[in-house]
Amino acid sequence: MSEAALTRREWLLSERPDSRLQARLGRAYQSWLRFSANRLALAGLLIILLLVFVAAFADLLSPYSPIVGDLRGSRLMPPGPGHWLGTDDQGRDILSRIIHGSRITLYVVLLVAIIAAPIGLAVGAVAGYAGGLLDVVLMRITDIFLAFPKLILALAFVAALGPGIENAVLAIAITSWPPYARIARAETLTVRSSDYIAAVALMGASPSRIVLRHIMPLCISSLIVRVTLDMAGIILTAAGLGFLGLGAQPPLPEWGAMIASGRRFILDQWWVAAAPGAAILIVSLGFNLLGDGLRDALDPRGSER
Amino acid sequence: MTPALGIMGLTVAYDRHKALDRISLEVEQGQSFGLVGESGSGKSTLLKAITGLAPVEAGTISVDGSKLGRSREKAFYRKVQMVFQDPYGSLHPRQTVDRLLLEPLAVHGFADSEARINRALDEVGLGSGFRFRYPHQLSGGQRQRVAIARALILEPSILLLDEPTSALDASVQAEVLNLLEQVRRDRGLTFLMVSHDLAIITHMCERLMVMQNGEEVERLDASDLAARRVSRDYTRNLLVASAGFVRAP
Amino acid sequence: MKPLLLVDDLWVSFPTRTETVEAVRGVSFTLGRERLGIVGESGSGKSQTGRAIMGLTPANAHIRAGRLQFDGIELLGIPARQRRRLRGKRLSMILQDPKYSLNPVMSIGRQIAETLRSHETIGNAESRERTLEMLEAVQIRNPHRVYDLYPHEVSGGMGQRAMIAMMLVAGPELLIADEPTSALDVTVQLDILRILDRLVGERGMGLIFISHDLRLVASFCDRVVVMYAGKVVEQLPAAALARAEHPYTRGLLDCMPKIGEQRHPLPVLERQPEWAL
Repeated sequence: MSEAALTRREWLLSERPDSRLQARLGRAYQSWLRFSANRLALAGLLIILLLVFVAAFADLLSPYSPIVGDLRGSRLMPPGPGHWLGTDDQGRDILSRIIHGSRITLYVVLLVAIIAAPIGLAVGAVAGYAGGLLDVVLMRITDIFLAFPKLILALAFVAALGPGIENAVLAIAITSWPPYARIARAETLTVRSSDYIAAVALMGASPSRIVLRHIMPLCISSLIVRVTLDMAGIILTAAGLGFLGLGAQPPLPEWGAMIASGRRFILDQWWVAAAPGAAILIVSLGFNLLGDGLRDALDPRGSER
Repeated sequence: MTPALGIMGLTVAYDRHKALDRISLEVEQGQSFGLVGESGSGKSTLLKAITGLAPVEAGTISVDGSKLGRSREKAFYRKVQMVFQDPYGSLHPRQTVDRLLLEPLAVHGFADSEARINRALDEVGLGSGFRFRYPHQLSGGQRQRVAIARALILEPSILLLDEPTSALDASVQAEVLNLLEQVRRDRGLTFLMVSHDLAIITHMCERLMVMQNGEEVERLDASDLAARRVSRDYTRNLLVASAGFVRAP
Repeated sequence: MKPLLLVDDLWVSFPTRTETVEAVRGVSFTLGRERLGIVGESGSGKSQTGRAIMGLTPANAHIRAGRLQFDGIELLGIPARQRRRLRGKRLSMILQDPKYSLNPVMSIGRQIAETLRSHETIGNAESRERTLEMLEAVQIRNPHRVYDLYPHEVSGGMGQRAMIAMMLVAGPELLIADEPTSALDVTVQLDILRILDRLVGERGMGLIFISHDLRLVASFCDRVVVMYAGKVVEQLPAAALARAEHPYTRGLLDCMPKIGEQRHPLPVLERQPEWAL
C-alpha cells in the first residue's frame, strides 16, 4: 500500500515524464505540495469545501424549512437544543436559513467570478498586447469603472435594474472586472516583450493566437489568486446589497438580508444578526486564506526556481 | 545567382536615434555570414529588422530574390527562423518541450506532428525522453537545443543566430556550435550569425562584417581575420582585446 | 608569513524540500597578498565560495568549515555585527552587473560617500573629497560630473568603474571580484581589468577573481583554482596553465574556438563521473 503510494509520488515528481498527462499532473502535484505545506491555506480550503458540501446537501442537513416558520410557538427563541442557533422574528430556524443561505452565497460568488474574471482577462490582455489607441481606450473605460466606489456603483446598477439576486450578481460583476483587467494588462506588459513571445511571433502565429494561447495562460494564475482574495469582498458586497434590501428578496435566506432583518432586535436577541454575521466572517476568512495559499503555490516567479 | 538573403541600404531608427545606418550585405545560399560588434553596434537590430520586429526607415530586404514588404507573410517564417541569445528567456516557462515544438507545426497546419517532433528532438541530440519536460527541468545547453529544434522544425532555409552561445558555459558552447555546424551541413542551411566574440565568428562563418554604432566598419573573409589581415583600427582593437589581458610591465 | 585568507574544508549546502544541495564541498586554499583566480562553469560553486567568504550566503544555507580565517579572525565564529563591520571596510566584493548592484535612486557619488561614512567618522566635505579622488583613481575623466549622475545615466563600463570605486574607497585588504567584466564589451573589459590590476598592485591587496573564463583568469592572476561540482579539482600557477594535468582543466582550455585555428568539430568536454567524487 505505502509502496504503491510512493511509486505514484515518484511517477508524479518524475523529471522525465512520458506523456502530456503525466507532465501536467506532475506540475499540478508540485503546486499542491507547495500549497499543502501552508497550514492556514489548508484551513481556508477546508472552510470552502465545507461551504460547498453544506450548499450541496442543504436539504438533508437543515433540520427545518428555511422559509416557513412557526410564528405561534417559536419566535425569537435563543440558541439551545431544538434550535441550535435560535429562531428569528418569523419563527424560522436560523441554522436552517444559514445552511440554505450558503447556496445563495456560493451562487453569487461563482457567477460573479465566471462573469467578471474572463471580461477582465480579455480586456487587460488585449489592451496590454495591442498597445496604442486600443490600449488607451480600453484602459480609460476601466479607469471610469475604477473611479467609483464598488458598492456605490453596484447600488446604482441595482437601482436601475431593479432589486433581486440576479441583478445583484450582474451589478457586482460589472463593478468587479476592472481590477482584473489592470492585473492582466500588467502581466501582459511584462511578458509581451520577452523572447519567448517573440519566438512564437516568429513561428508566424497570429496576434489573437499569441494572446489566447501564450499570454493569457500566464496571466491566469495571478488572476485566480486575485479573484479568490476578492471573493470575501464579493460576499460582503452581496451582503451589503441584501442588507439594504436591494439584493435577494425575502423570504430568501440571504445572509446580508438576514442581518438586516435582525438589526431591529440586535440588543435583546443578538443571535438573529450575529449568526449570519459569523457565517459571512468565516466564509470570507476561508476565501482569504485560500487566496493567500494559492498565491504562494501558483506564483510563477516562485515556481521557476 | 540570386543570394539567399540580400540587404540593401537598410536603415533602422528608433525615435531619432539611428540603430542601423545604410547597411548592405548579401549572403549566398548555403553560406554562413557573421556580424561582429559590441553592444550598440546594431548587429542584433539587423536580425530584428529581417524578422520584421524593428522599424525599417529605408532600404530593402529580400529573401531568395523576392523583396519583403512591411509585414511578413506566413510563408516567410517557413523560410527564415531564428535562435535567440538567452535560452532561459526564449522558451515559454509554462509549456512543455512537446507543446513548444507543436506550436509552429499547428500554426502552419502540419499533419504529421508526432513524427516531426520526435525527429526534431533526435536531430538536436535530445531524444524523446525530454519531450514532456518543462524548460525549468532543463539545463542551459538543453534549452538551447530545444530552441534550435523549434527553429528547425519548420524546415527553414535561413537561420538567424543571435549570440546563440553567449549565455552558455564554454564546454556547452562547443557542443552547441558543433550541433549548429552539423545541421547546417546536413540541411544546407544559410546562416546569419551575430556575436561579440571574434573567435566564434571565425570558427563558424566564412565571411563577416564588423559593425560599430550601427555602421559597417569593414567586411572580411574569416581567413583574413585569422591571418590578422585587417585594415581598420577598430577591428585590430577587437582582435587585441579577444586575446585576453596583458599585464602592464 | 601568516596568510591573509585561509579557507580550510569549506562546505555550503542549501536544504530544499526534498534534498540538500551541496554547492561547495570541502574547498581549501590560502591567499596572500596576491591574485587568485577561481574558475569553473555554472554550478561549480565558485560564486558560493566567494559569497561564503564575504558572509553573503543566503540565510537558509548551511555553512561549515574547518577554518575560515581572514587575517587570523575566524569569520564563522564572530557575531554578525562584527562581520558586517569587516565587510566593506576590510573585505569587499564586486559583482557581475553594476546595473543590479548600484542603488538606482541614489547618485553614484553619494553612494560612494555613504560607504565611506559608514566605516569612518568623517565629515561631508572630506568624504566628498575622497570620493572624487577615488573616482579619479578608476579613471573617470570628469569625476565632478559623474558624482551627481544616477546609475541609469552611465554606461556599463562606467557603472562598473563606479562599483570598483565604491568597493575600494574604504581601503579593503581583500577584494573578491565575481565575474566583474562578463557583462561588458571586450574592449571595455580590458580597461576595467587594467584599473583593477593597477589598484590591486598599488595598494597591495589580496584579490580573488571569480570567472568562467579560464584564459582571461590565467592572463590576469598569479594562481588559478579550478572548481568542478563544488570541489577544487586543480590548483596551479597561472603561468603553468598550459601544463594543467586534470582532464577537466585541459578540456575547458581545449573546447574554446580560437582565432586562426581550424578545428571542426570542436573538441567536446567528456564529463567523467569520478571528477565529481
